[in-house]
Amino acid sequence: MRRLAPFVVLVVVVALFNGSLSGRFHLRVLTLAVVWALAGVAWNLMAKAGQISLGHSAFVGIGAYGFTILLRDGGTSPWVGMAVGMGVAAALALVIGLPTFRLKGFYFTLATISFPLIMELLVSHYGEPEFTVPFHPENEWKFMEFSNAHTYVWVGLGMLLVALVISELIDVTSFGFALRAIRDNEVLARAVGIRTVAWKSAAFMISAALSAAMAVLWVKAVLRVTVAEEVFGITVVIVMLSVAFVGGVGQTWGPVVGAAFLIPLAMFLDDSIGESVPGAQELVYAAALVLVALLIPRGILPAAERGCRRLAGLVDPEGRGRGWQVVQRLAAPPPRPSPLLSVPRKVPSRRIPSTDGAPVLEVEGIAKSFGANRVLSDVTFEVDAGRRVGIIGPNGAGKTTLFNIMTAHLRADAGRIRFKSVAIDAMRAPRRYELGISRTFQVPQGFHLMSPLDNVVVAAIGAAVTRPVHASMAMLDRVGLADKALGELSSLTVAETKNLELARAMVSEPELLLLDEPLAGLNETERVRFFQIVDDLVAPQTAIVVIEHSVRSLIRYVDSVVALDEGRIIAEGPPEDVVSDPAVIEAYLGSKWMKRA
Amino acid sequence: MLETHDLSAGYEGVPALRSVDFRVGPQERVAILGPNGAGKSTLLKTISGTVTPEVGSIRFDGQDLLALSPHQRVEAGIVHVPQGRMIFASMTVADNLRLGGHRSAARQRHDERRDLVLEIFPALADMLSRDGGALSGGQQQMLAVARGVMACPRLLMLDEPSMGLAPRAADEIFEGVAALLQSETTAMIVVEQRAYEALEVCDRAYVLESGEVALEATNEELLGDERLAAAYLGTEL
Amino acid sequence: MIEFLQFLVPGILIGGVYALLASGLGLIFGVMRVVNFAQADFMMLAMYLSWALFAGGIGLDPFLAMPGVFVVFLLLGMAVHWLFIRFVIGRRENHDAQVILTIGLGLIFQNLILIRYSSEPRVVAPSYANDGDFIGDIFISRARLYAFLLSMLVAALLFLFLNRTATGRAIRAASENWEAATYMGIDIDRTNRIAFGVGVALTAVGGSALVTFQSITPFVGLRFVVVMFAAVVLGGLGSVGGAFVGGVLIGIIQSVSQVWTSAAVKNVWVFGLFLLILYVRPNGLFGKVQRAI
Repeated sequence: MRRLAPFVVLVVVVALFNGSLSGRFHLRVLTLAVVWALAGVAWNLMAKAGQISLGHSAFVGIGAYGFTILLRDGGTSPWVGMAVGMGVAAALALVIGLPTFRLKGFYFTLATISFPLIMELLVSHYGEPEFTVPFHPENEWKFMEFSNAHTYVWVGLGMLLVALVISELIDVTSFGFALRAIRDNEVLARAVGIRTVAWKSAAFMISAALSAAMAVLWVKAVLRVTVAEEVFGITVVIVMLSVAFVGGVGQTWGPVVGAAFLIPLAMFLDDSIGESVPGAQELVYAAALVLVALLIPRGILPAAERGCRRLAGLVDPEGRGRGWQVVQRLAAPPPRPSPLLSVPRKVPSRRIPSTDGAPVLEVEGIAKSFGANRVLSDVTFEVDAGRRVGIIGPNGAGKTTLFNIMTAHLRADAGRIRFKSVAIDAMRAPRRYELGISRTFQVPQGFHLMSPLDNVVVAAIGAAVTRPVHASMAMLDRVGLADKALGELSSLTVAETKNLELARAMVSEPELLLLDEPLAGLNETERVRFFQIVDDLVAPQTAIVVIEHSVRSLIRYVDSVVALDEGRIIAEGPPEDVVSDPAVIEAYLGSKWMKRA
Repeated sequence: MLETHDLSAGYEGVPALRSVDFRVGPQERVAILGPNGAGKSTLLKTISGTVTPEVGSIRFDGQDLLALSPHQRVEAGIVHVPQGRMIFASMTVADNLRLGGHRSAARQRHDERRDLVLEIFPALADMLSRDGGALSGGQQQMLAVARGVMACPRLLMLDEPSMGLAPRAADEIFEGVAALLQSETTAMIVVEQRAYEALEVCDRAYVLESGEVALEATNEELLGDERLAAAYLGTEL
Repeated sequence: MIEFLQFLVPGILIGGVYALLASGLGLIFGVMRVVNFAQADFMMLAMYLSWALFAGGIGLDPFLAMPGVFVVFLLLGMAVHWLFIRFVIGRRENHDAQVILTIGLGLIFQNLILIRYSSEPRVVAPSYANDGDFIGDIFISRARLYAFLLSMLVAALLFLFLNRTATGRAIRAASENWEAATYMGIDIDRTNRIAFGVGVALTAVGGSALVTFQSITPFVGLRFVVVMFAAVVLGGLGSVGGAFVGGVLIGIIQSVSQVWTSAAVKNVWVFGLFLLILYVRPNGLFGKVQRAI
């Protein structure tokens, strides 16, 4: 119901305005509000993954030029031209995005800037800087040549509704989970099997295609002339950014709110003082961007939700009244997993078939340096199925680096890793997770904008678990977090955070579990309890490797210990032997301590 | 001189310190020992200001330290030599030392201080025009300590000065620190894994475990104490 | 060959100015990891200031006005940092806010100028604007030569500032490792403010070096924004020296491309090169390529 309500409101509001407005100018404002809402929804798809594009005018330009050329030279219907433009735009999106999707930081944003600039220059110089769209009154619908200007609003509303449905569908399926996970914590997303490059590419392609579709409507309904400087111009991007950021970046309904607010404001201002103040429209967008950046960086919608909750909390602190319930329903919490996700799916297993007798993990001759600093040298060990191995060593010994190499967060300079006899050196992080290698992190990682349940659901989706929500809830129940499943991540205690990490790592039913300092920050009872939970969760054949500084707690739990110092293995064997090994004591306490004894 | 009361801190939700009461007297040298993850570095960071405690107070010379921003704490004389050296790799050794003496009380005394640190760590004297990144790990650590000394600290805090170093290089660092303490009256906190070396240059020590003070004793008491080994390795002897 | 040289020499001259424009952007990114999309609009403002000083009665030569422009934009930059930028520095979630804030500020500058001075192109034509000398067959424009020489002078002063003063060293230290810089007692907020001011002032001075041969409109920055980004990325994000070398290279490529294609599309080469660098060597010509796996 809550998902349907905004659609109804949108249709009713647009219908009311479309029915009552008659002046040319007012109708133009309404049409443009719909056009830019559509553009903003398209742009926002990419923002769901936290990616800011400054190059969407390339897709708008392609859409505009594509259909105009086809219409003029071949008499092709703009609808067909729209489809062609969408396809070309999607293909271009792949070309623009793919090379930067693997890079961290600003590269995607920077790369997007130059495409529209290149295209505008080329089109202006080698092509036609502008041409009028040919007039085809003979068939209104085929040629999108409506004599009644209200019809453009209806068509625009239809296209906007389609875009919104696409955006909503993305939100509630694994697609949306993947995008939100990427925005929240990309490293963690890859560690739980989310193929970040593929998802980002898909989002960018859909976003580009919708932008090209919007261009056809914009040119047909408003511009009437395709001008390279306009359709490829930076202003297109500015308006998209403004409506999306003002309404709510990454939020499906954000651009609709943003456009409803900004477009009329900018146009009425321009209409009244535009003669004397030529830049009035742009100043509205610019001021909106600056104010949003400083005051409500996530936009009006999230800010309004927070405000409503706070207000309702003041009036009705117990949360029992009807008012509170209405607020709760209106102020949407982060999207719940949809029923779609709970439908059992047939997913082919990506696991390696069982190989009897062979070790689960074989690490051979691993070496790694950071600059001149050698962190690991010739590290070799094996872990058999069902065994628990502890890795100890003083600070800086290279333990976490070794984990990062095993899970493909770092590449080794030399050496080989085999998992169930298969070489996995060339595999990236998501693939290794799919094979059944799970990990926890030294500093617990999480998707902070998601609930604890959704944190686990992402990992379940990454592992192609057949019923992700069901499996995640069951896992949370087993680690004692069932009643906190829908709360805030930041409200968890340390022990609960550790348990959540464990649930996330275990939901894929891994065959190799890597725990990086799981006991840090826990007190004595919590430590004992933690390993009890691990034992309760893991299957008997699962191999476990634990890095731990609390050697005392570790040696009671593991079958054998590998001791590292300065990146080399200095001792290996049963726990009692390793901790009484002089080399190990020296590594921890220093050579002088040994001489004293 | 420095006193913390009921100090608790953590980052990203993981508490690293729980209600720590800790004290350094004037000119006193204090070691903080304990296994990794015990909260030793976090304690130093709350003192130098890069971690903000959740509860508790820190007083320095009777002044509320938490009211000061990190650079003001350096001005007050608290100098932190961080774990992992953090030297400026693209800048020369001489520039690194100059930055160490950024504190206004130290600027006038630059030449005098530089002579002092080159006396303590003669190996740096030949390297002044080299980039910090071109030094070996041991030399980088010397530079990090030397950079701290340049600031004329009233309280010098060394975080794991021997981390990741070969035993000989670690010995050189500790010899340098010992030489420094001969001529300087500065108070000092040393966080170390190598217990013996740390205790050798200190008067008193705290042992931290899981963010709590597990043991507080003078160095004579601790040097013979097997509980220390137990805290690290859990060997029950 | 002569034809090539005829384009190469002006390319080097204009490249010197690009180097100055880009070093300002590079300095700001290096110190506070903020991509300042308003940088080219500060340049535009400086061009209008130079024009106003020249055409507005006192007839001050733009090259003589440069010290004044530097001081004005140093203060303006520090004010903008204090009023706006400092609120969006730091945390990862601020990345979006940085982008839209600086884009918004740039737009405000453009449109305020548009309102005040209209979109009519302005030119600054001192007596020597069309003068030049032939060295062999190669014509060297005097205005461009002055612009180049002054850019080199400012670059030398920047080098001295960063290497020989306490504040300059503090800026370099903060740019390399802000946490370590904090332990040195460096006031990071103050360092950021000064770096932002200096970065803006460098680009502004570069802008006033351009006015004798580049007409001025409120939207002139748009043409230069990618030139600056290209130079900065070419030299490696965050390296001031790299941005400088990158600027010279961009100037050369932009100019020499006219051997093969029309001057109207010379920027296509620049933008194309920018993309190529982003895709193939994202850490710049001199940096090590790092990829997240």
